[in-house]
Amino acid sequence: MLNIILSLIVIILFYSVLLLIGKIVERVRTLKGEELDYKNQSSTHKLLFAIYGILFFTAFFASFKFMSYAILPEAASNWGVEIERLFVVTTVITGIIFILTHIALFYFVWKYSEKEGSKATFFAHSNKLEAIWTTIPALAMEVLVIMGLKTWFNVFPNGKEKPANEMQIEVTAKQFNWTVRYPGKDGIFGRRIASKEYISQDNELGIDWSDPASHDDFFASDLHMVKGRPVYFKLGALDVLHSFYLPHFKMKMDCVPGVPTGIGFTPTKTNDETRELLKSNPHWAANDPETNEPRYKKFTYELACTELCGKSHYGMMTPVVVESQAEFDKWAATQKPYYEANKEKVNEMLAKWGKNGTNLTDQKPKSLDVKDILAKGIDKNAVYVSDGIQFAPSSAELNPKAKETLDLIAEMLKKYADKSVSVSSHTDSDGDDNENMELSTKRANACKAYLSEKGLVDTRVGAKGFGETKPIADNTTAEGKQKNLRTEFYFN
Amino acid sequence: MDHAHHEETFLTKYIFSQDHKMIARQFLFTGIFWSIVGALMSVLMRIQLGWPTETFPFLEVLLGKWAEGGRISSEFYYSLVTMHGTILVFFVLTAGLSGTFANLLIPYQIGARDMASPFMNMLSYWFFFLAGFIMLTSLFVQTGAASGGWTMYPPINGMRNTAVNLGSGLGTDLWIMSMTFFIVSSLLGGLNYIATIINLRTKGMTMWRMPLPVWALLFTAILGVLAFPPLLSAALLLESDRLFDTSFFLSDIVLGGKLQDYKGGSPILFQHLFWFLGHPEVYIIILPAFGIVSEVLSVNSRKPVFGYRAMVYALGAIVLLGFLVWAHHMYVTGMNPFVGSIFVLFTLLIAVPSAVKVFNWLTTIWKGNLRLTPAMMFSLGFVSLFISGGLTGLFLGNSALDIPLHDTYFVVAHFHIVMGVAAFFAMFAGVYHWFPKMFNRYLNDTLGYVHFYTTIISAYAIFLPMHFMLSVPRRYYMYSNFQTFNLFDDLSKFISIFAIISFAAQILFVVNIVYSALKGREVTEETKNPWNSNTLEWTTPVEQIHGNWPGDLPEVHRWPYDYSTGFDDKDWVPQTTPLREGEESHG
Repeated sequence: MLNIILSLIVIILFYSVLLLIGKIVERVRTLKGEELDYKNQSSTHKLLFAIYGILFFTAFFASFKFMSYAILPEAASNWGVEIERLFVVTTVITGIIFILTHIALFYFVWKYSEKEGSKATFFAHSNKLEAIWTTIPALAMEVLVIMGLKTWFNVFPNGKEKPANEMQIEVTAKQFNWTVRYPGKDGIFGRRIASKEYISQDNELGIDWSDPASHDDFFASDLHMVKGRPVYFKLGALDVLHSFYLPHFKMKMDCVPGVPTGIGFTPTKTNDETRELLKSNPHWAANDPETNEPRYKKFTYELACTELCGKSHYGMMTPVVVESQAEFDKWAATQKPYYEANKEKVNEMLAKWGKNGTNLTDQKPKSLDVKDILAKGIDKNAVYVSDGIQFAPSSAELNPKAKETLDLIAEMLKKYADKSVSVSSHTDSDGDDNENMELSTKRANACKAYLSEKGLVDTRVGAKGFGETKPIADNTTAEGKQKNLRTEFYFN
Repeated sequence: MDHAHHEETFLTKYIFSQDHKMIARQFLFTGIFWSIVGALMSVLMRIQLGWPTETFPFLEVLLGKWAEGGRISSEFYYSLVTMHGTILVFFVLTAGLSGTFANLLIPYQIGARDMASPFMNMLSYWFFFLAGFIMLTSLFVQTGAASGGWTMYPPINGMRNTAVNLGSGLGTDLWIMSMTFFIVSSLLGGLNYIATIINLRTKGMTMWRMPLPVWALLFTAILGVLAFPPLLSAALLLESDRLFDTSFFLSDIVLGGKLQDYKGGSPILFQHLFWFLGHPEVYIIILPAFGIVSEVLSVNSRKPVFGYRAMVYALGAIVLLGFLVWAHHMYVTGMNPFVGSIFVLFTLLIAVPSAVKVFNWLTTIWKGNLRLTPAMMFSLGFVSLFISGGLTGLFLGNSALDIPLHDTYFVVAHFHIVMGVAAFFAMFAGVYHWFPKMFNRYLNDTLGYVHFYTTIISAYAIFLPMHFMLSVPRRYYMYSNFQTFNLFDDLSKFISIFAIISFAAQILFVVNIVYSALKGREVTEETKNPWNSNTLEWTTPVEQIHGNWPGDLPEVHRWPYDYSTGFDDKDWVPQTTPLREGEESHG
């Protein structure tokens, strides 16, 4: 308490002294009759302002040297490098304007401050001058807009087909960590259903384990990417807004509950390569007192959150690794799919839901009407069953009507570039179990082959035959058998 | 008008005053109160950021459970982040700046006895006071003040019981209630300003003879009247989501492994509504600053403001474009890239009228006869800050560059310089310039100069190095979780020290105001126009009367910027002087 009182007294004294000095100067000026004559003040302050100006420019240029350690090494992604170029161009253009206008400001104050006998020049307007400094900034802006939008549309290609070897990773944010899901070997994510019955403590994402595509999906504690292979992040959030930020790749995208977002790029530098670049940075080259080694040795890329999301917003760190395809495959092989690692939990959930959610009320399959989907958009939570694709008995050949339907699906997938489809084919219980399995697999693959021909990359189409293992109706009636003989489309 | 006769009680003169001059003083002092609160919050934040691992026992004495063991808790830190933004943007730079100068200057400079509706004007202040009172109360509730950011984004602010965010309870409800009253205040004020400027100009005061502060305040009022209502609706819908569990802004929310009942809303919709106000809001802050600085530069350069009409057109262009750029705050929300590209175009276009204004200010001081009063120094400082902060806007407005820069310290540096420090500098310039009119006494010059140099040096010391932290996320309580961001220990201390110095300088300013208002050097009838200014406010008598001018209102014969016309030896000609034979008319 005494400390606080003493500090207060010191503070009051400090301001009193300043006030006293101010009063004395004012009194002296009044005695000299200078109260409203600022000529003396002006000559003092033109000097002080000039000194301040020199200080200002010195600090400006010096900061580029002293703060260089804060700048990240060259970006580790294709778009990041492009954005860095744009940054440099903008810095040069704005830097020139900054320096010239400030020189003018400081010089004019120095040159035109009032002194004995000085006068102002009446100069109220000049259309020519104003035309010049309207046009020049407008042209400079044009350059920046064109360059900027070129990069912008590279990062977010509107409706363009995806690169063939693109890897997809799903990242879902919640307070206060990231859930990273890989689609596994088939390259397709198991579908998610936003329903109260599907979502639980053990299944926050609402993954439908009856979707075969989900069986090889795995969760990872680190984010792994492959150098030189395009990657696309499907982003989402469970509770509040978050933002997916990869500083070294210069990439960022918000994660919004209820609104899917995404961002894609190609990593261009492995962790080791960036580590190498950091050697020239004084901060990273310095010794880490804990390990007694240079700091860069422990460097990894990091994923951070940049949207205020609550009290531990500052702690949402996930390590990021960029490696070769071989290293990635080796790592992926060690990651166990959730479906396999937690068989018990999964079966419990499946028992609760029934096949394709038939135990539940709000998950009845919808009939596939592609034209309707094209008009209204995909309902990502629905299962679509096609009436259009019927096969001749024991045949896996596509008839013209089936091709027509598949053409529409291809068209639709081209429109929704971030969607993929998985085809599941089923038979009724007639005939040999193994033959049924083989036949349904052939039928699903025929659909996949046809879609590939139409230009859809393999990673966007999954196919699986189930034979007679997953009936949805009674196999003892003709009507029931007809229902069980079906080809389904899941859209992700 | 028999203004001289009616009896004023203490209550009607100082509290429920309907006199624009008194209301201006009320706004000024309330604004000062809020800037001290807001600045103190930034000092607390800087203490945490500068010394994240150290403990300060006095903090526990002051803040109790919010700083247990002498360290600010992260929850309290996020309340500080939220309330600092809210207070500075709305209560200081909107109400404090434009409330003070609109009330002071509009009736004075257009030659009116008061506002069109003095009663509405009084209500405008008292709604603002009420809003402030509620906001202040929210700092003292048990679960803490709002802590989800001054932008109030849902879902974090849209659910009353988000267990992991304490301040999302009563604190946020009070925040929304306070803002509702604030918006009412701002609408009452704005409509009044517009009506006054359109209708109550004195004889001869054509639109093209209005001083630039009046033009700027007119455009500000138009912006406010058009932009605040969407925020009001957004705030009410948000409160509905919070209280009645509607789903305007919420959908598919999973909390603790349970899907919540919200369905079909969109958090992005709120952002659109918010920024439809939020962006014009920055022009609501900066336009009065433009007006004040133009006037102060011209008077103290003894030279007409260069390109008067171009200045007005530039203000108009900024208002128009200001409404077409809001989504540049949302480039990384997953918006359609084509829509984003339209906003890039309009955003960068705003640089054109802004550049015109900067070049015109520089040309105004070119070949002038500069009188370096404290007000002039702050105006020059404003020009420097507006250039520095405006240029970094060209980085952020370009969507591709915004991808990495969004929500980093680069943004913090940008907007603090351009709409924080710059707007404050204009406010300081205005206070130093019009203080003799407001209080019939002068501010102490020496303290003014000390205030100027300390503030501009510490402002640049704080924000210049921050630009280099362009990869570091803002709103982080500390950086030790990330090796990428954890390299600013020394810099953070450096910035924090200058933040404290800057705060001390502002206290000096407040000391100067309080002391000078009571005991400063007095204005006499001979020196009632101390800066030899042409505008009408300086023709009012020293004794301030309700109705401003005894007898008839002054008649205006010329534009306000006839400085150094060369017609005679005097370097100024008041607007009330008729055009003399052979003299050229400038408007």
